[in-house]
Amino acid sequence: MTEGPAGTARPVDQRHERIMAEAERIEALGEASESVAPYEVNQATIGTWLDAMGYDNERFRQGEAPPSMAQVWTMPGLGRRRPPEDPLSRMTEFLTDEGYTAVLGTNCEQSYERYVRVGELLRVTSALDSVAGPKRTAMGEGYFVTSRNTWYVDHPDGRSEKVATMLFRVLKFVPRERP
Amino acid sequence: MTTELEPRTFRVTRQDLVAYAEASGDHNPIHQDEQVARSVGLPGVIAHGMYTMALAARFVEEHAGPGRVVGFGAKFVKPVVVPVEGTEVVVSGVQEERDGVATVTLSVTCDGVDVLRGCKATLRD
Repeated sequence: MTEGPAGTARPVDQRHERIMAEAERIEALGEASESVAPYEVNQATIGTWLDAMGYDNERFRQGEAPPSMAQVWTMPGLGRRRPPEDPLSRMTEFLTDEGYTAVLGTNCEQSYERYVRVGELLRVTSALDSVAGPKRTAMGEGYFVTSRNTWYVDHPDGRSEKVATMLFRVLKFVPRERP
Repeated sequence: MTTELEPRTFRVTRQDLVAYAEASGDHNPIHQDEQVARSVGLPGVIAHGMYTMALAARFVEEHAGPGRVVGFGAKFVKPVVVPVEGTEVVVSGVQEERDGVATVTLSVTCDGVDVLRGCKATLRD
C-alpha cells in the first residue's frame, strides 16, 4: 500500500491500471489547455536571453527571435501558474499521488515552422502525447510522460498559424533510498 | 557530403545559470541552490537542460548560419553539474547532406561524459 496525499491508502496492485486509465483519459482530451503569452515577442527579452547565453548575432539583435526561445514566451513565470487543466501537470500530479514523486526531464524535441518576430503574440497549447511504464531506470522505477506543446500566432483574419512544436518527456519516478 | 565541425568549449558558471533563469523564466531552485538540488537526489546544482540544449543549438547556428535550424532534439542523459568554480561543456558535431537535407549530429560532453545523447539538428537551405 502507498499513502495518498490525504493519508488515504491506495491499493498498489491496481496502480498500473489506474495510471494507464488516467493517461488514456487525458490523452483523449487533445490540446486540452492553452495559454497566451503575457507579452509580445520583444527585443528586450531576446537581448536578455542572448546576454545570458553569451551569444551575439545580428539577426537576433534586429527583430528575429532565436528558435530555442520558443518556450520562454509562454513560460508560466513567478506567481503565474499553469492552467489547472494542463495535461502534463494533471498526469504528473496523478503519478505523484500514486507514489512516483520525483521528476526529471529526459527528452526534448523541437521543430520550427518559422522563426517568430518582435511584435508577434504567441499562444501555446498543451496535450498529453503518451505515458509508458513502469520502467526500471538508473534513477528508480518510473513512468515516462511525454507532452506535446504547439505554439501558434493568431492572425487578424482569424487564421491560426502553427510556428513551433515541442515534444517533452519526463520521468516520474520513485527515488531510490539513499544510503 | 560529411563535414566535421570544429569543436567548441563553453564555460558554464553559476552566474550563467542565474542569468538564464531570469531570461527564460525557469526559476526551479535545483539550478541555483545546492541544498535544494541535493535534497532531490542530485549531486549538486545542475544546469537547465534547455540551457545545455541551447548551447548546442547555438553551436550549430554559428557553423551553419542563423535561420537554418528547423528541428532540434536531444535526450538528457546526465545532468551538467555546475560547482561554485564552474565547469566546461564541449560541443562537437558532424554535418551530413543527403537528398538536399542537412543534419548535424552533435556530441555534448562535460568532464568527458555525454550529457546529451541523440542530439541532432535538422537544417534547411
